[in-house]
Amino acid sequence: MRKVKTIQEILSLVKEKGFSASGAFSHGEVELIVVNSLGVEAYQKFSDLFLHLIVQNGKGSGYARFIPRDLDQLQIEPWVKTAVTKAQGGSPVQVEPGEYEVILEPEAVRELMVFLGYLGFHALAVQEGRSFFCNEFGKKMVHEKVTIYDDGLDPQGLQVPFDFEGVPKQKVIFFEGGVAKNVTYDSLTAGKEGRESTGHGLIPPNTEGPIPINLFMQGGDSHLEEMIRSVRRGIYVTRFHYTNVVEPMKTVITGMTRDGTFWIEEGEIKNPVKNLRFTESVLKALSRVKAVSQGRKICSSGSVYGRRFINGTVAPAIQVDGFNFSGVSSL
Amino acid sequence: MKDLVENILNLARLKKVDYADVRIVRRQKEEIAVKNGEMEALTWDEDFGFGIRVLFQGAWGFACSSKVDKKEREKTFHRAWKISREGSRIQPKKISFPHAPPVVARYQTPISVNPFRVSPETKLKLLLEADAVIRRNKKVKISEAFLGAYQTEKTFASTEGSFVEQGIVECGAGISATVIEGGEIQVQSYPNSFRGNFATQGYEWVEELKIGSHGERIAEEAVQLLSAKPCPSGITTLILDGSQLALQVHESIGHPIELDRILGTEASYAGTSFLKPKRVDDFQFGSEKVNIVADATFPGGLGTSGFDDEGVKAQRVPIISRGKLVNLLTSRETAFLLGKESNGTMRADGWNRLPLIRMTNINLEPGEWTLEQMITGTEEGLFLSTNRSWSIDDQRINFQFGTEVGWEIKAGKLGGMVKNPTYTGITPQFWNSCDAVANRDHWQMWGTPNCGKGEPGQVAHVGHGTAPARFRNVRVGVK
Repeated sequence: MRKVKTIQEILSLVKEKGFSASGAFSHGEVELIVVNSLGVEAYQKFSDLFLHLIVQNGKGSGYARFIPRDLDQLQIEPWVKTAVTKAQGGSPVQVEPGEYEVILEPEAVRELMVFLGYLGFHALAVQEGRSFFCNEFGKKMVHEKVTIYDDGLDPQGLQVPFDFEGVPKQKVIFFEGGVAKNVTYDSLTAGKEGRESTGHGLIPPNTEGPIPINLFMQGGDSHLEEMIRSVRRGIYVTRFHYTNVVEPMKTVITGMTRDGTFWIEEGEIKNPVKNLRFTESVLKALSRVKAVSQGRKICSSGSVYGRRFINGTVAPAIQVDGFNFSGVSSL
Repeated sequence: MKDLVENILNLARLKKVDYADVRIVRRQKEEIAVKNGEMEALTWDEDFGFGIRVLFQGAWGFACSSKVDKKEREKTFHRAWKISREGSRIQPKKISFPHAPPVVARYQTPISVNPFRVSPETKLKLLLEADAVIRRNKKVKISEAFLGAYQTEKTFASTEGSFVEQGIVECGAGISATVIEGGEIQVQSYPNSFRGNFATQGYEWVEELKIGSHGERIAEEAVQLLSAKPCPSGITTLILDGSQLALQVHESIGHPIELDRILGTEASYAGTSFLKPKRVDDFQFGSEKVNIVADATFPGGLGTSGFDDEGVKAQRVPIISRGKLVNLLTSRETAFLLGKESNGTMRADGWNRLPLIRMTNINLEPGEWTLEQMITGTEEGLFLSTNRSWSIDDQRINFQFGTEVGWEIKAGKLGGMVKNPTYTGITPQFWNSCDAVANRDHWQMWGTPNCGKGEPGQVAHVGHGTAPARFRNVRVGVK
């Protein structure tokens, strides 16, 4: 009952600080076996562990997530402090919608990356003519500080050696220095072009295409503190919520901020703000990147609509010079 | 089944639990997807297992298994009991679970044609023919057709002596046409987006949809959208068709009225609610035109059943009456906190999940207008149809939706098409701006088969009966 004791410790620490806590702690063992009539026999067993925490006090809320497979790596007190610090600061003030400079934490950056993966980083979207990559390979589409790739074997992510067709994972670079490079393939999409699969087949029957599930954004050379210090007037975002597509080929998405959104003024985080709705093109936002943090974090939702499989995104924090907020959550 | 459940319940009685229930669930699913003239997927899936809930010294425990032999049943019960025992040692507040009289009953979805007795070949032929009609329009890049059939047999039994058996059948189908040109994607769907419209009916429902008769129209409309005007930006009058309104009801009424969400049990996933229990009978959620009921008895509704997963009988409950909030969706545990009885909304996604409060059929009651009268009475505005995009904040306050198509309304007449329509609002302000709801002639039931909630995640099939409605001073064309 180590999980119960861990949760008990977390709840005690949160309660001591005068907050309420909610969250989920899940660990599991996954066996992936792929056998087919072409002679593929692939087997991998792996464990996973997902723990996340929201602290609230009726005024503010804060968020923390823990992904590494080894619970011994969790230092409970500093981890809880991350969420509590976000929730402190008093009642949030209202900021009017508009375009602002933003600092996006890794969880928020993950959201942008995942949508690019879904909308256009894969061969089916290109073959059907609906990817933003169509006719753009080799062209600079976003800022040169942006390099995004998929790598199921990178130990900094949640490693998966082969895909759901038993094909070994290959690293695929989508943006390199801002330039559009490649997309992921499964056996069906690869077959249509006479190519080899890149090992990105998803669970059959997959009608969505070989969407990448081990995304990475390369870290930069900035530190988060100096990024904040360089903002004259802007917004600090911990994470996004309920994000959805508005215009797929322009990569316009909309969603809300959540669990730690702050006003920055003259290089200092001043106070929490009421959650904001953004409506922005991901490609436009990534074209306006001013800085990318050195440090990166692994982010994962753990499961999608109840289906558990390894999907993880390793993302840095980024600073964007101009990000559109179209509304405020306020009664 | 009776021996199986009695074995488990006897173990529970021996441990002197406060309460225990067991659900044995068998589910079958058949889904066929066709794209561009070819079968893309044909899935036949079956799963079977049981789940046990135990309440011991005021704390819940849950465990489940797909193996039903005696040893596994005992092992699973002990796992559930151990979780509740450990929980009772650290839980500061003990759960009160009111006693209810036992229920012994059986329910079966009334159907004419069992969809699982219709051959896959017949279903595939229907889809391929519908798809072929769409593809006659050479500008269509992607044509799709989908059909799904679902059957759930569940047995519920509790230490209170309840024993309820249910057989639920669901069916649905839909088509879509996608055109891509000039860096733009436009889609038109029938009868609804996201694969179609679903109901607790037999295969007769699929035949009634007549998907083959709509392919030409949706293909033509998708093409027209390419050259349509972009949705203007500004504040205007909005008329929403029934299908879009179904999702508006779902996101901005259905979810915030879930009492478990209000009490915080969804806080770490989809969020909480701006509603509080004290707002019942004291909050003007919408205008006097707005009447919402939660109706688990509506024939054919996707959220219709005989009983919920706590053995509470399906019922019809007013939620918003003439705009005033009068009720919430409750379970036995949460209703007790309000001094009330459960209104029967607990459902689990299969045997390996705990039941949660879920929408049943959350319906906007019909009004008195015809759609034509609503349009004629609108000087300037937009009429929007068929959802394409949806987003709402974690307290269900700020929302934004996009639809597949819109039409201008000018001087009381429907005008040209607009593309990429979007609108945004604040939930109670939006519903208080409703000044007209169409009558029963325009009212129909929509099925939403993909409602996500809970950790670990669960998917529920829910229904929304709606008629077109008009809203004033809505922000559209969100930039």
